[in-house]
Amino acid sequence: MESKYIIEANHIGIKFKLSRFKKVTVRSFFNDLLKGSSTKQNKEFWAIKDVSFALEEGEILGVVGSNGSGKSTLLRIIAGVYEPDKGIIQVNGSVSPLLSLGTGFKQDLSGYENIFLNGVIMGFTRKEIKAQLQNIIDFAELKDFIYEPVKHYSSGMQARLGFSIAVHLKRDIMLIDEILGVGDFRFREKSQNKMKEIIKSGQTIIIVSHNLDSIRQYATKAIWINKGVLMESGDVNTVIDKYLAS
Amino acid sequence: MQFLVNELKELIRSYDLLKYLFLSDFKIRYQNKLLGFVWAILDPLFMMLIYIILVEVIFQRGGPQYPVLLFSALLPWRWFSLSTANSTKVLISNAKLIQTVKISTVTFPVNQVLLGLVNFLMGLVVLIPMLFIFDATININMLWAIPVIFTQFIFITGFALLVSFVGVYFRDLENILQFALKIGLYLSPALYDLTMIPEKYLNIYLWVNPFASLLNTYKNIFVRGLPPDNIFLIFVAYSVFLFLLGVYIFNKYQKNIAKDI
Repeated sequence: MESKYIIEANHIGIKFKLSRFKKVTVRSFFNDLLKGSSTKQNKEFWAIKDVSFALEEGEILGVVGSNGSGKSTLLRIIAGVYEPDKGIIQVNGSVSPLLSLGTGFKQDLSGYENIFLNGVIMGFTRKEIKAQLQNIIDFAELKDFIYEPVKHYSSGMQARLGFSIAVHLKRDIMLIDEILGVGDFRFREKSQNKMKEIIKSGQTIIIVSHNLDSIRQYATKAIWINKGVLMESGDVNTVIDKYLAS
Repeated sequence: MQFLVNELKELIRSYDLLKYLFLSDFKIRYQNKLLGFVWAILDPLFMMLIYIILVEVIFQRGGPQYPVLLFSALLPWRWFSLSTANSTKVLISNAKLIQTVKISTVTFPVNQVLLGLVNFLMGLVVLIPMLFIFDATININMLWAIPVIFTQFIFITGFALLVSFVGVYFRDLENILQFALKIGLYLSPALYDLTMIPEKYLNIYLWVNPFASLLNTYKNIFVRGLPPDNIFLIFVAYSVFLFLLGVYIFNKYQKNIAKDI
């Protein structure tokens, strides 16, 4: 199926069993057995009920909605972590996932080793990581510290390394949760500039942010999700104004 | 058998991931600690010492080759118990990653099997001088160790896939398994010899406990200079069955793991 869109979602929905929050244990199993099986009621919860949108290459999509509206579930569907239970989503490209900066860092390993570990976790090959290795180290300004265990890093240094990995190892579609820079004042400016550079380079991006100003500034289109339902989509300012008015 | 091909392809695709998961865990476990490598050997050695004191000194049993017979059975048992115990929680402890990145979940339990294998191979470094000290029969039959280790790898991989998957849904599995593994060692011919099992129970014992034939085979190959006998086929059958079952279940249900974890 040829499509002019890089992502096309058609009435997608995803449900979770509520009992997933209540894990089966020996005790619960016997309790249920005695009471006549209460976990069997299997309450379902549709985290995403009906969402459709399409994104062309080079577009920047802002996703707005209050906490618990289903934004991160939607991102996980786009990243391929979840399969939707209804509807169809077509992603014609690779997605670099939204790793909160530094997730998956092993504290006992050096920054250098963590670059590779983080990279392969995000689905890059050793070769792809090697090609960006020097850029990552240089941008993070870690110099010789790169061979020290990450546990000896300050929080600012860890954030710098995480940010540097995220912006250098990227795919066709980038998922990000904040445009804001990280680290001290100087590095924050540098990282913001880097983000702007990526945005201008024609990278397809999906931004989920509570900072509506940054979405207004950078996004080329926006969607507003509430309780798993698409409320509004299209022009950024219109969508955000309606979201704010709700 | 399509599921087998699928899963194998996925593992090959995730080669780099598996490699770095393994290297990181290996480094954290052994390299970054002063006694890292020594611990891997000391642990089974201490275990062996306790049993030697118990059996040889207190009960006055065992015989001259008891230490080396015991050690050659403790090593493969430890591989099994380490890899399965760690596999039960490996998906849960990586829940955050599994929910953010589309990642090949099968690499996590396989990594645990490989880490256990390396631990086992390090133990062989201690076993080999012991073979000479305790006057074991060393001959060409020792080469049988290679296919036997491979078969055990298949067995443990199948088992690790199963427990890591079930562990996502059944949180008590870790505790139950720890308990079962403790009993399992006493139910297997490590501390004692297969010949000590009363004749009338021997058949059922061999069929019910796959480790009966496995541990006896290890003792035969390493210490007695004997090739595997027919009863080893029981272990082979268990291995093939567990492996296919584990791979089948993983292949069929792994897409649910991120959602259910």
